[in-house]
Amino acid sequence: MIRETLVVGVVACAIAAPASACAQGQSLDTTVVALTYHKLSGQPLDLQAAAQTTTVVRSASNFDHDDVMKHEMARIGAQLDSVDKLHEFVVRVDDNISEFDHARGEFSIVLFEPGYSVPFNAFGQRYQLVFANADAMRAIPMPKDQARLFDASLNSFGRRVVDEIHFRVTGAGDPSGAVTGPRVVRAEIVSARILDPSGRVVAAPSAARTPAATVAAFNVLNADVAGLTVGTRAEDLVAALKRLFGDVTREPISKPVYPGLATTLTVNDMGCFSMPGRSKNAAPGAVCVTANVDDQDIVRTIRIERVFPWMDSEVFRAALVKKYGPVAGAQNGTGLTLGWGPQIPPELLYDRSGPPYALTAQYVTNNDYMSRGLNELPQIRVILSLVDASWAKTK
Amino acid sequence: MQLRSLVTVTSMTVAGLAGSIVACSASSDSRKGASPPPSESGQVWEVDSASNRSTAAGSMAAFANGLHVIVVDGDDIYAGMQKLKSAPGPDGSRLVTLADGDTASFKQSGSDIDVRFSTGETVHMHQQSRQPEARS
Repeated sequence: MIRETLVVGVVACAIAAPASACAQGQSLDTTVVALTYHKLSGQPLDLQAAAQTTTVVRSASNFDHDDVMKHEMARIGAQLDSVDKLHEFVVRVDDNISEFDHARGEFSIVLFEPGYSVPFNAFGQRYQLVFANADAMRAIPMPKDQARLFDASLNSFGRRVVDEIHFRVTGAGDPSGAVTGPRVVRAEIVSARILDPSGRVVAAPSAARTPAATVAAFNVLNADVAGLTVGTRAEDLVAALKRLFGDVTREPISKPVYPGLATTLTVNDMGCFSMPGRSKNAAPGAVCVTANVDDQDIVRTIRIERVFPWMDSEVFRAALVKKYGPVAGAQNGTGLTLGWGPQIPPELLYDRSGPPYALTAQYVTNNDYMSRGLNELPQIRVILSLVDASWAKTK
Repeated sequence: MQLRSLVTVTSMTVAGLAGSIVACSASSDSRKGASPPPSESGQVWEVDSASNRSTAAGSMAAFANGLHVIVVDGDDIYAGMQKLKSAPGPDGSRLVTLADGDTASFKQSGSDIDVRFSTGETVHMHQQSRQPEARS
């Protein structure tokens, strides 16, 4: 899922105003980028750990160490407090232009494809810089005849280009959910030029607005997972499930994981994951549903799973970001988990290892090593989960 | 006889699908319209060739939008607990507007329905073979 990150640019610089010229050879001040990220996102910066990475602290004698540490912590803290949130940076990144996509009639600027980021280090930590509006600037469309000449030109210098990107830091996390991990710096491209090795402009994509600014805010009250909603009467859900999928089992909850939950409704319980040695393991197309209903017979949580033949997680990610918009959080561990909406108590989620959001989508593999051939691709299980966050808040 | 009956039902369904604009019913719930499908009328359709990797993107798009298993009742299309707005499309197809504003086109193809999303993914649907009464 997560694609290769690109090696950061050869030449980078930071400027104070959009109109200022970029001083060639001056490095991007990654500490300022990192500080802006911490300031805007509210993600805490460990001042002590940050101070310990500075040259003055590392070179201080044992006698002066504590005093220098205090001074450096105060200096970094003051720098953090005085960060200009609208600071515009410039970075130059080594990149490539893709082969021509004949179906779509376009070339792609590889860095601007979902899943790519620009890694950098600051305060002894690794950060990943993602551009929230990059995907909208990714394509270089052109007619086929023109593309043939452009392609030959690209081949003459091995398709290697330098992206000169003017950007502002806007927060934390990749809204496309494709770049995961700690310290993902969300930025917005203000302008960009794509240069060939001689410095000639190859393309100058127009800056697009960040999806977060153009897509209506995700509203969990209006959300559905595969057409199923929470906050509705259990009898309506049961009627829909029976018609669509078959038998529905209704069982009282003896030990509720969350106050107020009284009943569980299930369809095809345990039928969507594979267990080694089980005679009737899940097959593509299998659907499983588990819903929790409160003591007023209102559906408060719902989880629907479906088994797919193997597919790339990019297919999963793209389909769900298309439906729900920019993600609130993402995690890549045993699979990819995306989250939308407000955070909820983790105990309301079946899988508590992922980000605890009201709506989550998981992409996991169904590993069945006993019945699957060694060269056979695993099945994919997609799990969509929706929790009535407004109800949970009242408990 | 059974096959003939099935084909007749299929034709009626697709003919109904290509009919007039669906009027969306108002929901009594203040949240997104909870409109469970009818318990008996209409037919249940499901995504075809579940193991076909070439249509995985279409299957994924269908699942995300609740179109992996639907009830078609005349001009009405139910995806999960949602009654979808639809309108006549080109070549006798039926266009459904999805939550994200994209559309899905439903068009008869023999005894199946071809679904084409405006984002390019395609998937085939066939009528679910199990009868409602058999699933209590």
